[in-house]
Amino acid sequence: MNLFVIMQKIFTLSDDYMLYRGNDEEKDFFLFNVSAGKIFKLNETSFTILESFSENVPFSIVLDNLTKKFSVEKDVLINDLSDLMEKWIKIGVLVENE
Amino acid sequence: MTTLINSGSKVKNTGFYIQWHFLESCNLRCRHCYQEDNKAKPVSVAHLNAIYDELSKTISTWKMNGRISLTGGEPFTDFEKLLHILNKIEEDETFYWVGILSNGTLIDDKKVAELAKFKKLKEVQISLDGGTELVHDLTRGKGSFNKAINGLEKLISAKIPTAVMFTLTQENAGSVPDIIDLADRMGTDALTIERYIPLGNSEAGLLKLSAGKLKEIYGQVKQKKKQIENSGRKLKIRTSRPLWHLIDESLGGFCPVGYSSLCIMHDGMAYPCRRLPLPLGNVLNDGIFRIWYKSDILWNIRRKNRMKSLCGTCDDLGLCGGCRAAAYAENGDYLAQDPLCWKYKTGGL
Repeated sequence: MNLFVIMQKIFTLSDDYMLYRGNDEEKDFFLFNVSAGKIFKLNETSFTILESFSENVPFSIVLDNLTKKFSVEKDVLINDLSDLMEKWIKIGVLVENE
Repeated sequence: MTTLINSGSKVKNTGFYIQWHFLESCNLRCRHCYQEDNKAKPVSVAHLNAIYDELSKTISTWKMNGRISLTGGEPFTDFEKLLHILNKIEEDETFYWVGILSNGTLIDDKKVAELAKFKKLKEVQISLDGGTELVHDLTRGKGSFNKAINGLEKLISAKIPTAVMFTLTQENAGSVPDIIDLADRMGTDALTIERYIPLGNSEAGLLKLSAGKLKEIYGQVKQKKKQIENSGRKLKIRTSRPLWHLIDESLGGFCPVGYSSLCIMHDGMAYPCRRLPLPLGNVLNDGIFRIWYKSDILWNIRRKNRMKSLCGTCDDLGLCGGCRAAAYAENGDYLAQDPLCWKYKTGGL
């Protein structure tokens, strides 16, 4: 699938998952699977990226937002994100919103 | 698991406690009871199995040490179903500890003999609301004291670990020394003195405690507890709940609600606590994971900084947190101040 098509797609966090941010002092970030009960500890960057998918906007806008947030070039971000995205889609954390 | 959501509480993160009200029928009509109606609907074995499977799956996925109490209504009103659940637990690795919470009035030799077969049955708790027949029967009905004592004696004779639960009201507060002496004399293993929460059809006007009375009673209990401990006798008076630390800093602790406990009703509906009537979802439809992770009510209880009034800013927040059920019963707001806390009470107690 070409990049242009992916850019127009909307990916969101699956209903089976829930993000949780601990209190500010502890900097705890978690992803809960509310169907299977699994708990994943996240780092702040992963949390921020996943959180950005909750806005229900095309991937291109998610990228724009993250580019600004992390002050990185879009190409670099796409490169860094591609493996992560693939993994999250594969295990069902992110789903395509038709 | 609870370390995810816990900050500075005394609750340990290795155990999870479930109070399962697997049926709602009861043979008594106690004046302090929170049960809304007494039209008990029958529960099928298939239904019980489905609920049990969900509980077991949850605890094993979390890899926690599961503790479960079976209660009702009155669990001995359907002894066959009680035995059915006990058998399931005995054969399953999920729960290492089982308790039964009962009014004790339906316990006989035959039932005790059956109970004695279960290795995981670690406690049968009998409710006694007075140290004398007169006081107890005033709350629970004529003849109930003698029946409960009879049931308790049979359990003790069979060497089944026992506990007494005393629900403290304004009316029976004077009976606290008697109930401690009775539990001690009979040889029960533990005694819990739990304050009455005015809910449902209970007679709140007559039974509701004041903060001053609670302080006075907790002070008396502490003295008795020390005497018993110093004498080396076996009765343990449990004082691990909110507000006890105001009597003695070595006592008290956070309520596990929202961290490591859940109440499940006969129909599968989950509540934070039986005395906090806020439905969280049905474990058969929603599953416990979804309820546990997604409930705003549970997150509000866990995040102590969301508490309103003086509980939220109290210096003792890391030790106590108050009783959320008491706050709800008094104010209709489970994040409000614990109404029986005497620390910040101004004016009369």
